[in-house]
Amino acid sequence: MKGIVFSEFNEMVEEMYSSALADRIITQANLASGGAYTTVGTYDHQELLALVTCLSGETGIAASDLVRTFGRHLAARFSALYPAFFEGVGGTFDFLETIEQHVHVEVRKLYPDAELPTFSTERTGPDSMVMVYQSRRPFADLAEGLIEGCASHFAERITITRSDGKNGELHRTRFTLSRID
Amino acid sequence: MSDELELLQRRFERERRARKQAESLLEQKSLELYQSNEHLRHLSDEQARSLQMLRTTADSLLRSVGLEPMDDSSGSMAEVLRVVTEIVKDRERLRRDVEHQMFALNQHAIVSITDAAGVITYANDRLCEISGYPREELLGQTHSVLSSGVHPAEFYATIWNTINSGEVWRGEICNRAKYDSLYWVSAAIVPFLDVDGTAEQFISISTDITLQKSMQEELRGSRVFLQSMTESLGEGVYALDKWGYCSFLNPEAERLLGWSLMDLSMTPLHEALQFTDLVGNPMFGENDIIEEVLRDKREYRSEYDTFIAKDGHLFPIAITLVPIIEDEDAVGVVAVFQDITERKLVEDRLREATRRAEDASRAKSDFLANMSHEIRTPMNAIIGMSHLALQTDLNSKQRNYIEKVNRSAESLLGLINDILDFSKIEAGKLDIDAIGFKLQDVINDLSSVLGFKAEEKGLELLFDIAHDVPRALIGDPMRLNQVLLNLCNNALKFTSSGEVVVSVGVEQRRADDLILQFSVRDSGIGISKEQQLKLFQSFSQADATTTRRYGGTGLGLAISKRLVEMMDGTISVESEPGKGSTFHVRLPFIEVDDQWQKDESPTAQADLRGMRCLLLDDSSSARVIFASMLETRGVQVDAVKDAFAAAARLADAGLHYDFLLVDWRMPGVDGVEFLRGQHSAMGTRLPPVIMTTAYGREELAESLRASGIGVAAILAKPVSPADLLGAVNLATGRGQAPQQAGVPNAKAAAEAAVSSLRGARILLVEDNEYNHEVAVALLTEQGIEVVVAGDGEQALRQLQMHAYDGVLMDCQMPVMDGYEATRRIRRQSQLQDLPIIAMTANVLKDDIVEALAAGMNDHIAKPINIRDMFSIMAKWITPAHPARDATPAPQSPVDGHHRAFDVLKNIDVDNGLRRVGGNRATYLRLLHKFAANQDNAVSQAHEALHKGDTATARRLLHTLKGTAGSIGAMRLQQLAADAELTLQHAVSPISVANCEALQQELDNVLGELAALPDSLGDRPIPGQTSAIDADTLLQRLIGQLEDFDTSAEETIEDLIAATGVADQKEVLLQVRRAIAQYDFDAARETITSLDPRT
Repeated sequence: MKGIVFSEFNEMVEEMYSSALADRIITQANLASGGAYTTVGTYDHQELLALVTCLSGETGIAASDLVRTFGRHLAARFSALYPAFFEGVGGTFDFLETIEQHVHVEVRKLYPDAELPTFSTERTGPDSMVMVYQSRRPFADLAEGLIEGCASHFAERITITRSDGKNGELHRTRFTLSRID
Repeated sequence: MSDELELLQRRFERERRARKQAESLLEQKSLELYQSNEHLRHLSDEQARSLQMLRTTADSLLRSVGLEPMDDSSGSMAEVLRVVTEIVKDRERLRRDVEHQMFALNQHAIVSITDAAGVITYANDRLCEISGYPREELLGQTHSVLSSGVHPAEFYATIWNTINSGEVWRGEICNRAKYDSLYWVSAAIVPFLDVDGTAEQFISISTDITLQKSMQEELRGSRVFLQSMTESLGEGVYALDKWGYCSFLNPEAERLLGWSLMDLSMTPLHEALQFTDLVGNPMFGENDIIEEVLRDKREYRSEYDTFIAKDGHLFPIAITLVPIIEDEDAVGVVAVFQDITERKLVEDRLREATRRAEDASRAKSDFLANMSHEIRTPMNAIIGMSHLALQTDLNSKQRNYIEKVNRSAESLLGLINDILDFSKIEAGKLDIDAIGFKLQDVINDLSSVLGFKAEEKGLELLFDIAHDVPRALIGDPMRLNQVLLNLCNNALKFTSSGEVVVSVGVEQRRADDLILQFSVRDSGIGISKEQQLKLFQSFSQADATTTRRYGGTGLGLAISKRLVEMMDGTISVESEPGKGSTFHVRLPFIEVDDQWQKDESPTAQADLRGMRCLLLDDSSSARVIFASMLETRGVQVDAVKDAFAAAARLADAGLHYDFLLVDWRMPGVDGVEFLRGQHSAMGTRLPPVIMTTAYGREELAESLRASGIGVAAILAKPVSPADLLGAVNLATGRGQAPQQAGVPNAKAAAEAAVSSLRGARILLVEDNEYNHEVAVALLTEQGIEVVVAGDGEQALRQLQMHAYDGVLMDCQMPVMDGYEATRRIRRQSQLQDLPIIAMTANVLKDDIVEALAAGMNDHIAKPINIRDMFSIMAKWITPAHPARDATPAPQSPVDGHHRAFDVLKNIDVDNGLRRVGGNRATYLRLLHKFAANQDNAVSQAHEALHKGDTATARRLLHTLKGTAGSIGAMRLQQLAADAELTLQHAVSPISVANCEALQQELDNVLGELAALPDSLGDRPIPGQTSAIDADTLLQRLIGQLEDFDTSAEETIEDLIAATGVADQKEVLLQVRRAIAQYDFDAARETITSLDPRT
């Protein structure tokens, strides 16, 4: 997992809670990296999970909720860091369709070794879509959060229903999205 | 705070650590990047190099195929690849093309490739085929293996030099195949040069021209032949292409036309020649005759066209144009022509000459035809009239004169016929027939014509026909008859005593063709050698004195000779003066299957072998002939020449005869006398007798009857073998009476014919007065009713009004001639079967044909031969109401007998009446005539005898006999006959007793006749059926008397019958008497007194 995820997590923790908390969970997590993350580096995703677990312990919020929230946060951060991706698209659905073909392609140009989930999309109506998330890492919550974050960015109200599953070794989640108004 | 500091410190530491990480990553990344770039650059260089190489290659390739190299700007790989692909494809195409060409080449061409040294490295299939060598035997060899020896060494040297210098050699080579046969090729040997110009390979491509070569030879040969032929031909020859331009002209054509081939390149030939036809139509330009010839592919031939030569002269040509056909297309014409100026001249002259000759010939024919008619018509009158005159009672002077007239007329007629015949022969107008005929008929004809003459002169006429002569032949019987008649007439003329023998034999025979030899032998005065030489020339008789003594034109033999020659025969003579002559005629005939050959009946085939015959005949020839006839049948014949020898034989007890063959007329004791003697001597022991006579059976029969002798058979000469055998059979009791086909005794036949015609009603159509009078008289005399019409129109009218049994139609008449009249008659259905007989002076075959074509049944020639006329009429005409039977004809209901005739005791009235068809009036007239003319007959005869004029006496008695017979005074007739016979033999002078008996009988008859009335008051005599009153009759009679017209006889009768006034009648009787004596002058004088006009 790329360092930017970790660094954004930490910053989110510092923003939402405090640096001290942030510090505390880092220490608690007992990370191999010692909590030093550079955005361009690559780190074990388990460290994130450890951090999330510690945070959950500290806050009393469910890990999945925390991850979802993080997802929302990450989406906003992406739109600030990489505005180009969010321009020229008509809405959430349009944007989500570009993730696989466009966004992740660009990502790989910079980070050839990035392990990225796959997103396949299918429009099921003018206001509905199905998006399937597959990954070796179990970060469907993060994906959900990201989707919500996108919707916020585009000022659209999207309802999300999700069904989780597995596809061999891969984690697979099917998101059914419906746009309201 | 220290917590916060610790926190910050920890955070910082973390940050620092992260940064370091990042830096390290950055270094790493840079290095990676550098390496990556290096690699890329390396790759790029390589690529550039490859590209460059590719481009260079592409450029050179482009250049090598003649294209522009690529420009540098378009340096992309794709472009290069495209170009290269193009080039490769192109090469592929080229390779395929080459392959195809090679294949095609190999199909046709003989291909071999050799290396620089000439060793064969490649040989295609054709080469192996044609050379007979398998490939392995060719590869590694040089072409010398195919050397034929035809070409000299220099030839091959030249080839070698040429190709070695890099040039292509072309030419024809003769090679030898494996098994020694030669073949010709047309070759091109091409050197392939390498880069520096030396030959590294030679390819030889050739085609087999063996066939062409031989054809060329042939062609050259025929061209040479054709050339020499057209040059030596005497005619002009030219050839035109299909547009009419000349492509060939032989020397003769050049000479005739004046043009040479070069002159004619711009003008179609026919135009240059102004080819024109006979009437001036152009045959060139648009009308060029070659159009037709080419289109129809048919030749054109003409002898009537013209050319104009270069110098402008026109000449006629005979030309033949034929199309030249190649593969069914006409591609040109060939013409052969001749200048026929000369020929035309000759033709014209010939035509002119022919026309003149034809005119001359036609003139001759016309002349002959006209002459024939013109001459015969009056001849007819003369002969007929004089004949009629002789039938009447004439005094001796008159008879003498008239007989001379008649004889002169006959001989004049003979002369005329000869001359006409001769002219016809000379004019080539005589045709020789080839028809089937029976030889026996010709013989019979001869016999009947000559018989009388022979009898008159006391000569024996014998016929000896060899038994192998066929009965039926194909030839010209008329001409044969004419020749034989001429020869026989001569024989009879120049023989005073003895015999004339006519013999016929087969000289040569091959299948159906045979040559018969006819010989006429006489015992006459003979002909000397010098005379024989001149004999057959026209107009020559043996000498001038002969003509004077014997008469004749001398044409006869010349005509005979011509006729014989025309029949492809020969005529010759053997003779010695004083010893008689024999004329031989050899003629070819064709034997015919004799369908009407009467079989030798079984009785005739009967075996006569072993029989013995006594033959008595004074004529040695007759003896020979009869003897041979009998001996071929195995009969033994004892022939003796007089009665005494015969009597002696018969008396010889040792000799037994089965039958006798005895001739009648012999000097000394004749046959009848002989038999009389033997009869009394031998009685029934006398063997059966067959008598022969040349003079008619009836006479012999009468003679025998008179003598009270019976014989088994009487044969009239000439006797055919069949007749003889039939008689022998009869005589010896083996068969029935022979149907002697022999000579129908002419007189008997004629009498039979005449009697069959009695009572017939005939329409005579004749314009010529004389002719019609003759005919009427002849016919009515025989009891035939005649109505006369003057021309065809009248004839038609008559036929429409009355019924007739037949018509005698003259052919030459004015208004409507006989042919036309006949045609019109035939158009009427009821008249189609009416017998119409032509009477014509023209007896050229064409006229007979015309007569038959017009519908006539037959023809009678004029001048009229009475016997012929009656026999021809009898052939066709059957009277509807014959007068032979007792039933009389309707218009003259004659019951024959009249009580007036009862006074005639010494006359067989029935007999007499029969002879005039029962016509009482005629009979009466005849009776009166007899009384008037014959009253002095006997005394006159007596006087003549006293004067030694036996001939006159005989004639008088003959006449008496005849006329007595015709009125039925039979006994008188017999007595007169006896008297005549006695005189004929001149054995003993007529006895007084005989004379007295005769005179007595005559007186008896005359006495009875005197008691007859002058007329019976019957209706008018048939012959003039129109009702006429006395005045008309009188006028008619006067006219007739003035004209010496014998029909005055009829008219006077009519007049007598029509007159009631007594003293007129007396005058008329006087007239009648005068007329009966033919004293027309006296009659006329007498009658004029009755004429109211005088």
